[in-house]
Amino acid sequence: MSEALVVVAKNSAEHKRWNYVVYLYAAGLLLLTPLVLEPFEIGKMNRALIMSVAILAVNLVVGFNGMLALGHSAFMGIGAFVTASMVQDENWDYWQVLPVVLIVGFLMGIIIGLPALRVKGLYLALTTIAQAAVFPTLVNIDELGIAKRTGGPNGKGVSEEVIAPSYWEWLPGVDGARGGSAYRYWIIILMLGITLLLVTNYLRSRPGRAVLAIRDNEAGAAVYGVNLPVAKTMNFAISAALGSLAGLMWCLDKAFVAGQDFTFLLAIDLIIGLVLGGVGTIQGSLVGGLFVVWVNDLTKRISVPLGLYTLNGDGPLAKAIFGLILILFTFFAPGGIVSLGRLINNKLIKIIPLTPVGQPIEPLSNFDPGMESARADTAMKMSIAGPILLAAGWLLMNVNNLIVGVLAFGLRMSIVVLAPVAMLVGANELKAHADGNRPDAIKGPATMAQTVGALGFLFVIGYAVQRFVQTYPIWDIPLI
Amino acid sequence: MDLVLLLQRIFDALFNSAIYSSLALALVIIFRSTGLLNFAQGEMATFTAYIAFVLLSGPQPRLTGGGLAGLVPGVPLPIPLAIVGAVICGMAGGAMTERALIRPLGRAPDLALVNITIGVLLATNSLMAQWWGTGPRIFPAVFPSGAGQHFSILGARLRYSTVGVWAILLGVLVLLILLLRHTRTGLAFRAVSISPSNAELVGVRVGTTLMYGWALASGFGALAACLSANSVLLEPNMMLRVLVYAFAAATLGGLDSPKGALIGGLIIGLSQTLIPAYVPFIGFELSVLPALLAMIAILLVRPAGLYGTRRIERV
Repeated sequence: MSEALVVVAKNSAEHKRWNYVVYLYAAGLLLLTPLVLEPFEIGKMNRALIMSVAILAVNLVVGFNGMLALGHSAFMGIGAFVTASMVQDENWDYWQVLPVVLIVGFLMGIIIGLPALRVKGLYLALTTIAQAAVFPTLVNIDELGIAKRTGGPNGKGVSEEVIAPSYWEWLPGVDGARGGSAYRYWIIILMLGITLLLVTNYLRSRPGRAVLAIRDNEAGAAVYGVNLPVAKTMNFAISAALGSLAGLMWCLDKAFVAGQDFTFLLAIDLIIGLVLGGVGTIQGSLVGGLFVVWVNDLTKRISVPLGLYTLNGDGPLAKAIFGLILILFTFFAPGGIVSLGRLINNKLIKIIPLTPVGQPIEPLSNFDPGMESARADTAMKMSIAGPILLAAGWLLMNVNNLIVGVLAFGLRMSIVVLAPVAMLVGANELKAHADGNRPDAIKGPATMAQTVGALGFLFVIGYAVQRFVQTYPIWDIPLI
Repeated sequence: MDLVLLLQRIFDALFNSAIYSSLALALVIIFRSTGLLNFAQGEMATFTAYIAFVLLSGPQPRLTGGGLAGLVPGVPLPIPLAIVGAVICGMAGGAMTERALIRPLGRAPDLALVNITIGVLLATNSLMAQWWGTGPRIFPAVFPSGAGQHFSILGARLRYSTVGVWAILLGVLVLLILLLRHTRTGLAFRAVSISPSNAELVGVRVGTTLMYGWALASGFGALAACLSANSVLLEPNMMLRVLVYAFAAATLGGLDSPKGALIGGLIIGLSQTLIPAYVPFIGFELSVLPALLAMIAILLVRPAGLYGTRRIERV
């Protein structure tokens, strides 16, 4: 099937309908996370989102500017220690520390980034690795009161806990046992959202485009009037400020900071997340953060008896699995998970851009297979496959085995994608039939795909709403 | 300033310098030929040190880990033989890594190559921890290093092990130079490191030559690990710290210059011992700092290192 299942003009009704489904899912995911997950799982989610911010910072330099900087764990550490020290020693609030952290990170970025102008390629990788390697020992210096501020080898705890004030208690999840972590989840989501918005805009702005131009062709960018040193240093400094922001979020979430948290291994985790998510894409940073934390969590639960000894994921082997994944991705999916996702997305939908007048740049009928279309059949198969896979997943769920469990989860989740796709494709085909572009034979399968798909979609929505209402007593919302 | 103490500190630093130099040499050999930094160099070397350790101890199931017992010779080997065995294993491992993981990638961006080596680093490190545990092991001394076993020069003690390590390092260096200057493989290697495409045009088998380069480098790394395993205690993360110093040494000297690696190792080793001793601000725990600052300072003045060739890009 070379052609996408749905071909729509940009901003047409069909395209908007498609987007509404996507937005609905995103909102549902956002809302259900703090409600459905266990408190410790929300904590892991927070950590994943923090890693996403840090990976975004690395991406800004590595992915968008094409420079190999591997030492962002140090910037995270700086941000975290500044936060811990200000909040604990000076009794500042976190939001007061925020500008300080950003400025400190920015200045550190300029200081460390200046040598970065002189050195190139792997030399830069080396200097930044040196930075990552030296940071954990730097916090132990006794002089200048550094050790007093950072707590030295013992680490620094922040005694003030982040608890939701009463007027935020209506936020989903922010009450009862999971209150603290759910509240931090919302703070982190807010910061992540703002960060994503700012970074996207930055990359579209003049300096951002200069940064991309440097990545694509340094000499060419210079010829077009980009001031290479300024653009590179500013980009590096912005990235460092972002890294420090991730450090602040880390301190906010864990309320404890130690030098051992910000070693070279964290820098390696960031690189793994970057590569697995997708180098040079914003979504890739998000996916990468989630992947690093949750896959690490999964591998820790693996336990496979293998003849003489058991393969235990909880031990040192977790890192080996990560190494293997990293190598496999470099070989077979250099674009990361995002590129795989795009591959699937391209099979599902093709969006034809518009001319300035508002017409599709090419008539949609050019992309339409016309009377021979087999899409209705495909959609019908998808609409039936959804419930079957769901049932299979439910049956398999009872097998007490990690790998089967993950498989069962994947099967159950498949309906989330299959049902709405079948529904939308079915509706599309019926419309094409009404226009006279399809034979009458597709009417049956298309109607069935539309109906069964809609039922499946309703089921998904209904299930989500049920989970939502079950854990979130809406009627308790205080009127403010 | 106490001259004897100074001399003593220099002698002490020389041992570490030799280790840094040899690991830096391994990095340089790979960088020259393949144009990549082998982040896994340290872990691959540690792995071979474990192999030497197993060869030294004979087939004790506790040490050989899982199903490897059948491969180990029935009797414990003497140290020199064990080290030779480890070096051979290291060379085979290096060649295999190049063949299986680096060559198929072809002309990939730097990041992809860095990823591969980081992947190997993680995998090797955790495999070692899985097989041999994370606890430190006592690796026997290669050279006599008892209380009285040292030369006395002007009242300072120069340990036999320091002399021995330098003798081995210089000896291997001479062998390397002979290999590069007077053999066909060496000529091919030099040709490939100058220009792979031109070398290919005149009939050099680039892939095979690179494989030899990796084998050579891994052999160097194995030697460094076996010689230093006694002083730093054998454990899976043993070479991680050493690798940072070796990186600094290689960068300082210029990533593509073997001479630079040697001198860089010397500078890093000496500064690591001498600066904390004479600068009160920097405690011994921070000994890594001056070395890295020196590296960054030199890179600022000479971006290609002390002896590295400057790259001129044609657009």
